[in-house]
Amino acid sequence: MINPLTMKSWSPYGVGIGVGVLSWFAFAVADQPLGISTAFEHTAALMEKAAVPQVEQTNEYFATKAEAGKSPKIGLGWMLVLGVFVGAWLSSWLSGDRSSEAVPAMWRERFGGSVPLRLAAATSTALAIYGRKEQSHV
Amino acid sequence: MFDSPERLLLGLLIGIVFGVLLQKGQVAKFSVIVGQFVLKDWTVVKIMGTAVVVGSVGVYALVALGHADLHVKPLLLGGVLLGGVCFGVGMVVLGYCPGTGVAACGEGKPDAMVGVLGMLAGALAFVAAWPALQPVIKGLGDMGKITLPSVTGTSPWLWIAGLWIAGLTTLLIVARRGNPPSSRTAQSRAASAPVSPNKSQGSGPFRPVAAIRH
Repeated sequence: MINPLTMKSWSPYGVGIGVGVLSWFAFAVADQPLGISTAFEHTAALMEKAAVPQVEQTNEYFATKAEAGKSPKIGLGWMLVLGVFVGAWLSSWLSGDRSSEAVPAMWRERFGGSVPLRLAAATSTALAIYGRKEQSHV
Repeated sequence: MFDSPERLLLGLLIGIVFGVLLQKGQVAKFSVIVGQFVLKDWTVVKIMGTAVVVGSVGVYALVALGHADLHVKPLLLGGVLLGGVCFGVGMVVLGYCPGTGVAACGEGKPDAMVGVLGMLAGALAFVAAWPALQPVIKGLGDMGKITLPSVTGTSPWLWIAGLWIAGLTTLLIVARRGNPPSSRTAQSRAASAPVSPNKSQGSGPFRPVAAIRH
């Protein structure tokens, strides 16, 4: 039998079932949903606190989060993000499905092959992705 | 500042499994994410649809048995509308969402790496501007931690049954219309580096499930 980890891809339905079952596990054992963006927020908050310690008093973010028992920390969710990186690295390494291509083919067809343009667009719009955090206040 | 070492390890393990699933699901790729938004590649709908129907029934069963708590976020219309639009623009131009972006970094993609730095910059701006953003976020009201069952006073299982019917119908339609994964592999094979032919796709929908359990 072929080692499934050396396969380039699995059925999307199988992957969906896997993610669904993993979410049961995350709720039951870790008491939290599978989430990524909170770890970015916590990293940012810890960086700002390290750079400017007074920010903990001047920015009410810190007091509000502390009151809700959700102070920024290097926690389970933070390690989960690190794990996603490690897992994807491991999976792509075992299957040889790796790529260092900065400009995806679909992007090149429409906007050309400029690497700086692609990287600038990727960086600046990723900033906007973070706007989603506005959906929750605590 | 830190969780206990056991929780940190648990987080890492859950993350590794999640990362493997995202990578094997082919969603750590610009062409697959953007391909979904231009309705040419239905991988994202297949994965998310299956994950939602499988996840919902298990999570609500765990809650009913007292083994888990739901983590309901408050419904803040202003924040949802503004944040949703920002997220949509970001996701389509970058070509990854936060989770698939981190997975794409693991695959070695430079655009995802600068994207993750961009997300961190966004997070820095969000935390710094947090007090100023509150009026915008709550501008259209805070409806509290509501769910469809709680608002309508009905059983969550009624909604889960509806979700299963809607989800399975969508997946059936998509399975009939969507591109099979093999055609995408053929395209990328033509476009980029040669791919060794013996690393084939999973044949049926159930074989990879066995793969995940190994």
